[in-house]
Amino acid sequence: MGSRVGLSRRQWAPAALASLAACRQASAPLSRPRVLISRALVYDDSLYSIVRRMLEELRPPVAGKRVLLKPNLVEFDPSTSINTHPLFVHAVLEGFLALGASSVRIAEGPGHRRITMDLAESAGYFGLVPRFDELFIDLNLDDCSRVELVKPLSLLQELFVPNTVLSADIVVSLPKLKTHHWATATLSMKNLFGIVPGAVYGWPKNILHWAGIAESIVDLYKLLPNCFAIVDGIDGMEGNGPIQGTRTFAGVIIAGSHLPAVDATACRVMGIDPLKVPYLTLTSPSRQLEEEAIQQVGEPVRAVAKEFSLLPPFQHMRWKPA
Amino acid sequence: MTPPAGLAPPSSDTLVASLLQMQNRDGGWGYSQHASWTETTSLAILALHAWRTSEGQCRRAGNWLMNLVRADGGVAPNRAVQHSTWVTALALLVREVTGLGPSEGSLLNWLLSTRNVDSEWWYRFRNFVRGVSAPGTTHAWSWYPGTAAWVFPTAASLAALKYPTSRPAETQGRIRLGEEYLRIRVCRDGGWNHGSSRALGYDADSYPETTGAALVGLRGASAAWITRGVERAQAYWSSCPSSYALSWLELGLLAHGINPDPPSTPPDLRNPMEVALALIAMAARRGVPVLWARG
Repeated sequence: MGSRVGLSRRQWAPAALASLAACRQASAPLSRPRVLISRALVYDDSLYSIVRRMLEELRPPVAGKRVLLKPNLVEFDPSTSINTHPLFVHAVLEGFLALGASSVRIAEGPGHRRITMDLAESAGYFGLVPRFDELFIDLNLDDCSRVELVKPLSLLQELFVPNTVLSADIVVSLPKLKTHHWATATLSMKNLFGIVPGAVYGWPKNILHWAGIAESIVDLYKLLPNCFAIVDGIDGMEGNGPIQGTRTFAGVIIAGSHLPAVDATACRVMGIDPLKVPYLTLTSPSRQLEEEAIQQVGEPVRAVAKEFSLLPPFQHMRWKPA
Repeated sequence: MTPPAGLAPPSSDTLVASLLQMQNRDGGWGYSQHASWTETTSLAILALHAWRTSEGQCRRAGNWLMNLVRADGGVAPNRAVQHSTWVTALALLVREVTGLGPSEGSLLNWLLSTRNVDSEWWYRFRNFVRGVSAPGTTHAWSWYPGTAAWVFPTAASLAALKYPTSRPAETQGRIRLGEEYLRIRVCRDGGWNHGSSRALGYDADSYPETTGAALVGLRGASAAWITRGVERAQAYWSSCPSSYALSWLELGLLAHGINPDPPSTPPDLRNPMEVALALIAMAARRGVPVLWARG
């Protein structure tokens, strides 16, 4: 009566690709990674041109590619800054289509709430993203394939990963700029927790905590061969994030193809020292997280930096511009 | 499955037909239109059984469930996954209610032998030595092996263990511990969220769907804290926009003898699981519960 692994030939290909991707040395960019910071003051139509200019500047190679956007959807309350703003997500979607992507879809698997579509509706996605119900995939309930982790840092030896993620050519992490009461800050890398399917691991995806939060973040990042990140930092969350924190205006969008560099830059914008954030130092040698190691373009960090309030356990991680 | 505003919700016949249409060729049901999953398949069997229909389709689904049994006696969430998880509780409920699916003995043994890691002595000792303040817990149930207990899998396990009117003492002991876990994890507003009612000194609020599910698991128990949970569910009932959450709220209230008025605007039913849950709730409202034994 034993079960068998039900991988079809179509599912084997992406799973094998992901295993190969896990072999990549995430910590060794060939050159200084570029991170672009742009000012953005409000969630209105101006976002479309701002995001488009950012993508034209960074030129991620997406022509003819299947792009998967991964926002951060957490809770219902639309009056907080808890979720990635739907207008921001739609501006990114339009931006990638303008760059020639063959398809752009949106996908997320919230960590606590099972009712993803209701959550998305409450967060304004149905109202602000045309054809949202056709474009969106609930990663918690997606069909999935087993992927063996190569040299994992966490206690995980394998992960079941949604086939939608495995079949995408590029996964674009669209986090909110938020503090996090376990991981210090939740940015483009921590946002990848949402790709782990709740239908297998539950709500919350507690296995990632038991396997080591920081280490699991790195393992998930290493799993994905092609990533890009655009951080929604117009309104952020400080204090007891990622759920019960306080809205704070930061007025920035931060983007790049090297997620550790994007997150390190976003940390500095929040007044957090990235060299003290465990998942970042596990991903990249400290020298690659130094400011000089990142080719930072657009607005200088110092011009947009804002000290996000931190819970007492994280106050020793404060970073101040020189 | 969205009814026009102001019109009656879909009839049970319509929902049954819709559910049957969504059955996969392998006999199971998926969360969407793709691969079959144990959770949706179990709920679909229970829904069809409640409405006394489609025996042949239920048998096929029961056979599909039997193929998901692992060597340890538990059930995997789908064919791609090689580990037994919390869905074993749903398979046990299916077996108790319908006689379909894997045998009761192996499922019951798995459920009784499974414990959440955070209740183990070595984990508590380690926290004590490290000075870590962890939330209170008991032997309850986790979503996935090797992790902590949470509200929903504990509620599902309680429902499965409580279904027969008589259980041996060992089972009664686990039931009491599971109920105690739910007592410990009550949120400040009286309801339940996923199971983290207080983190880093900050209180968290409940969710409607987990409040309803917890009340189903607590059927037959009475205490002031359970009454508060029922009141919380009643407060959610009038304003909840989610079909999934409404079905669990209704089942939770019915499990404690309260029959709420149907919602004025029936919400969308987005997938087979929501259709099955709506059917289970409708049947319970008409006096045919399948998540607990009558009487």
